[in-house]
Amino acid sequence: MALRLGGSMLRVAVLGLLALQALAVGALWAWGEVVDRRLAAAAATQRVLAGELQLTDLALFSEASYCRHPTGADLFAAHADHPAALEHFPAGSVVPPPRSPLPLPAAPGDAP
Amino acid sequence: MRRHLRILDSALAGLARNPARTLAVTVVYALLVFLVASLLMCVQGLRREARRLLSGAPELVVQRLAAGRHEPIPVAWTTRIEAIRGVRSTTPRVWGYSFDPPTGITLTLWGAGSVPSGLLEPADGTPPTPQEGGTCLVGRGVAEARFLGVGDRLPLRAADGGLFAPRVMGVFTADSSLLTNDLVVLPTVDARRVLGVEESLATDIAVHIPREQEVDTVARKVQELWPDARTISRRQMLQTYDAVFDWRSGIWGALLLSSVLAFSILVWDKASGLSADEQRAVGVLKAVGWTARDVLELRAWESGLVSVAAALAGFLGAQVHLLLFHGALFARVLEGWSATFPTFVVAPRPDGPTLLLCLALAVVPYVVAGLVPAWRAAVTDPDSVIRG
Repeated sequence: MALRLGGSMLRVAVLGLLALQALAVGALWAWGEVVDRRLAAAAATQRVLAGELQLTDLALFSEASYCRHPTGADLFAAHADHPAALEHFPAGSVVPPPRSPLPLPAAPGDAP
Repeated sequence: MRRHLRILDSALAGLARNPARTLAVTVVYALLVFLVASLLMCVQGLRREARRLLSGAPELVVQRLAAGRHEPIPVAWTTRIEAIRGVRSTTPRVWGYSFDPPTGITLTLWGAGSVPSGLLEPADGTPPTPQEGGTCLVGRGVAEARFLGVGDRLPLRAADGGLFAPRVMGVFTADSSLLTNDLVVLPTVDARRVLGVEESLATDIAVHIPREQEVDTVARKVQELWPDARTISRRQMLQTYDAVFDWRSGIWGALLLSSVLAFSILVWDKASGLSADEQRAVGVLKAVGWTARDVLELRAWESGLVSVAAALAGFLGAQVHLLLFHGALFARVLEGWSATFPTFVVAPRPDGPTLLLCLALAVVPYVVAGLVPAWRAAVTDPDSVIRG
């Protein structure tokens, strides 16, 4: 099956379609900017809540405590139940262990 | 100009002669761009939201470790922390988890003295009253899972085994669910009772340090005072979320890599080898006077049109996926075993690297894979090309 359109008509149709696609992408881009501004405005109110309640984490992964509060999780939190416990929560595959090891206490004689 | 338009017409006619193949390549290409663009924009959006929301988090949190684990911290530590230069105030935080067997949700119980009312949904036009003993505020996820409304009771099992059923005084708005979805905010006294945290202890201590530059110094002084203390600064919190989203996009990227490879094979197969008919067409064009440059331009138009159309369609799909369906494809992956998951909006704001990556993925390989064999055929003698 082949499309039967005159050369210039086909050109106009295809280029028109591409322009339409580009316009739609542009329109959705603008919509995205509007949504982002709304989110930024809403975040200002939510920041007050985070400050008031002293919240440190997002309520994204509630299935395991070390995923619910990754900022405060221990290095081996995933294996906290017993020493040979295997990590088995699906969220564990998307929440990595803390990037840096626990900070060491300052050695005596260190500059304050 | 006219010459280029004629070549463009020929390229379009060539694509139209085999619509099934053109459509198949465009659709597969568009799907690939859709997945990559959705992933990148979703992760960027989440990272942006985390930074915005957590910029209100305490500058420093002090935990106590025992046997390497997080243990309740003595409230008396606050006096010595407040004496450190640069610290304005401290707040002993009382929080913990409580598993809710009927729904399978792990609730986050949070002790607090007050909550800004702007984030609570008004019930029957009356604003929720300030917190009193025996009351609570719940996140949208908890309210939906337990079918709770203002005035209902939320039964919780206290640490002493008894039943504690605070009355719901307010539900957090859906807009704030990224912070509050599984939260049950109780007056601190009640939180202590449910979680079994004594009056002299707290879960951890939030430290307010007005000058950002002094956070590290305060953290070091806290660790000098108590070797078993662990400090977490806001910068580390934000880094943790950056790492979470980097890790996640890395995992998804690795999964997508197999699709990219499969697609590369398809593209190579479709574009790299000219069929006998196509070779003959190139030979005929050369025989009627087309130069090798014209033939290459024809192929460049063909590949370029297909890949630009696919890239635009894929990008459009990604924007619709995030704006209208709130990234539903990835939400499933994030959800895991969580019995409640916040509904959040991610604004697709494509930046330069995202656009470049999508274009590099969609346009460059297809155009190159099409041009090389066409160039090989175009520089060969037309007679031998036609005869194969």
